[in-house]
Amino acid sequence: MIQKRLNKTARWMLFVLSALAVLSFAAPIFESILKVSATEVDIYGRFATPSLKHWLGTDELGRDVFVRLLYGGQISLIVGMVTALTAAVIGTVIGLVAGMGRGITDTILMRMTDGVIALPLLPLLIILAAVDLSKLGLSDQALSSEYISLIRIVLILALFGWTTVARLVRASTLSVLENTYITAAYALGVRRWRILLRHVLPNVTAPLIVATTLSIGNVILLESVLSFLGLGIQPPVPSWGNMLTNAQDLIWDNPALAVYPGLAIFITVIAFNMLGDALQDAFNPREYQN
Amino acid sequence: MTLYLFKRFIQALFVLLAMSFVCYILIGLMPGDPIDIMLAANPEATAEDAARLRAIYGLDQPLVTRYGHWLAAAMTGDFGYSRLFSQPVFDLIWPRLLNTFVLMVSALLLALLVALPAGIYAAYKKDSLSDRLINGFCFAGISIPSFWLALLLISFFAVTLMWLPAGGFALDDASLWVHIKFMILPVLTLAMTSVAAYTRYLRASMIESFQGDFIRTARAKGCSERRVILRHALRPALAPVVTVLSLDFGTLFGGALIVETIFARPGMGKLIFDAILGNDYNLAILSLLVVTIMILIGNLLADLSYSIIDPRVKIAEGKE
Repeated sequence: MIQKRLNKTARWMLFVLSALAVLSFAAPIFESILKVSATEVDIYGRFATPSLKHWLGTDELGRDVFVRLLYGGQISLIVGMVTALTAAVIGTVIGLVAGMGRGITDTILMRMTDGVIALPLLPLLIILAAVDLSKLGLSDQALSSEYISLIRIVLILALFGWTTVARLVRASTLSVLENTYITAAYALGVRRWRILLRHVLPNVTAPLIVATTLSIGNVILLESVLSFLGLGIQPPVPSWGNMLTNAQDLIWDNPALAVYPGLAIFITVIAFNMLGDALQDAFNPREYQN
Repeated sequence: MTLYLFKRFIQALFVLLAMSFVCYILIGLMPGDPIDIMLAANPEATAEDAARLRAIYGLDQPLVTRYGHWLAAAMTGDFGYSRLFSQPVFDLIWPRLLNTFVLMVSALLLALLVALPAGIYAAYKKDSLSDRLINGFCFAGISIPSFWLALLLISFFAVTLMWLPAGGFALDDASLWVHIKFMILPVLTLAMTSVAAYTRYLRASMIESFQGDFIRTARAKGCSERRVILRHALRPALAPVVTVLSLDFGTLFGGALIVETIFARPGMGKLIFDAILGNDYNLAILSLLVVTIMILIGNLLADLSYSIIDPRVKIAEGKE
């Protein structure tokens, strides 16, 4: 039923995103076929113009821009989806507890949510991204892993990303609990956690899916800003954000290098946003008819 | 009303206290400390010198104790010196706060100036070609990375056309036009996301408002279309937009940080960024607190204006 209602734009966006995912994860294949490298520095081949070998030319260190874009795509897609899912889980738990608990639990959790929303997000993300993990007692071995900056960015973005979902789930929970079938279930002696799992949770999934889809775009934007500022994904691992770090200095001589990564972010984020919007229409027939 | 403001005030104090504590600890967990940076500049310093310096600055004590000292001094209005600028942090912040304030308010006004007519028009001509164009523009606006937009604007208006400066700040004695020239690209960049977001919200709530019975009544009694739109439909539609606006100040400041960093404008955003990366505790914490206060005041103003737009909403005396 949902597929039927998904409009043409949404299908296009799904297609664009799938194509992006396939291309990104095929990066090693492109690397071996084109005989180029995303990380190997080639001082003599800097700023090469697009050719059959280097489809989008090379950057200031002679690395192939096209393949780097694909690897950056892996990072953006993974960070975006994993973070959005993690945040959704945190938000769902907090929202359910607040909605089911009511009273003082609800008040405390929602005041906390309001507090987090009111904070200046970006400066806090910058501080968290700059924290020295070895001072937190992480072993050198864990720190030298190339996934560490990936895991860190997912965690800090999820830490602040749960608020929308929490409010949404709480609101849905409260409205679901108003229904007579909940009263009936209580009267029949059904346990609270069972009511939660069988009646409340299925009823909040639709808004949850929409909110999560819409938040992926936001997460990708935040990741790219942090990487752009030099605090997110650390070079030499390419990400769309850190590919733009040097672009500002190069803009006078080589503006093309500043265009591709930004365009990639833009297309991905707009696709997720339009998909989320279309899902909202599909799940909400009343608004769809408007 | 007084009680309401008092409650908000207490809440704000609580947020600020929690914020200062968390930030102090987090900055303490950043790589190196101020002494490392001092030592790096002086090759003759020995390990004993380092230890002595750490003791002088109190850096040998645990973080929580240091936070306690900072808080005690802050209570008396002493926020300490900035290590990067060698000035009392309080003096550093005010001129920059003004710059950021001007930047944010200009962007906000520009955003409203565009979003109000665009949102009303799109809702009124729902599903027309212009509505779709506006909608497409909005999707683009909320999806474009602002730092990339800034780079594109620089490369077009500053590098190719050479009409506007690529960044920096006009001297104090420069003419108003020069000041404005330095403002155009930063304000455009900052306003873009807000324009898109406000237009979308306004359009959605205007469409809902147009379906109300009171609109049919207004038309039936012979109101002009202009009056129907501006007096009857717009007013109830504004309330949800104000909510969005009040939740948006934090995002707007984040945008200001990016814009100031890229366009090299001396403001709070750039100050915070430099202070955090330069391990300048006193400066970073006071700037963060000032920005948080600014956001909290913005939220409060938006909440208060809510009850002006929609008189049915009363700021409750006893309970919220």
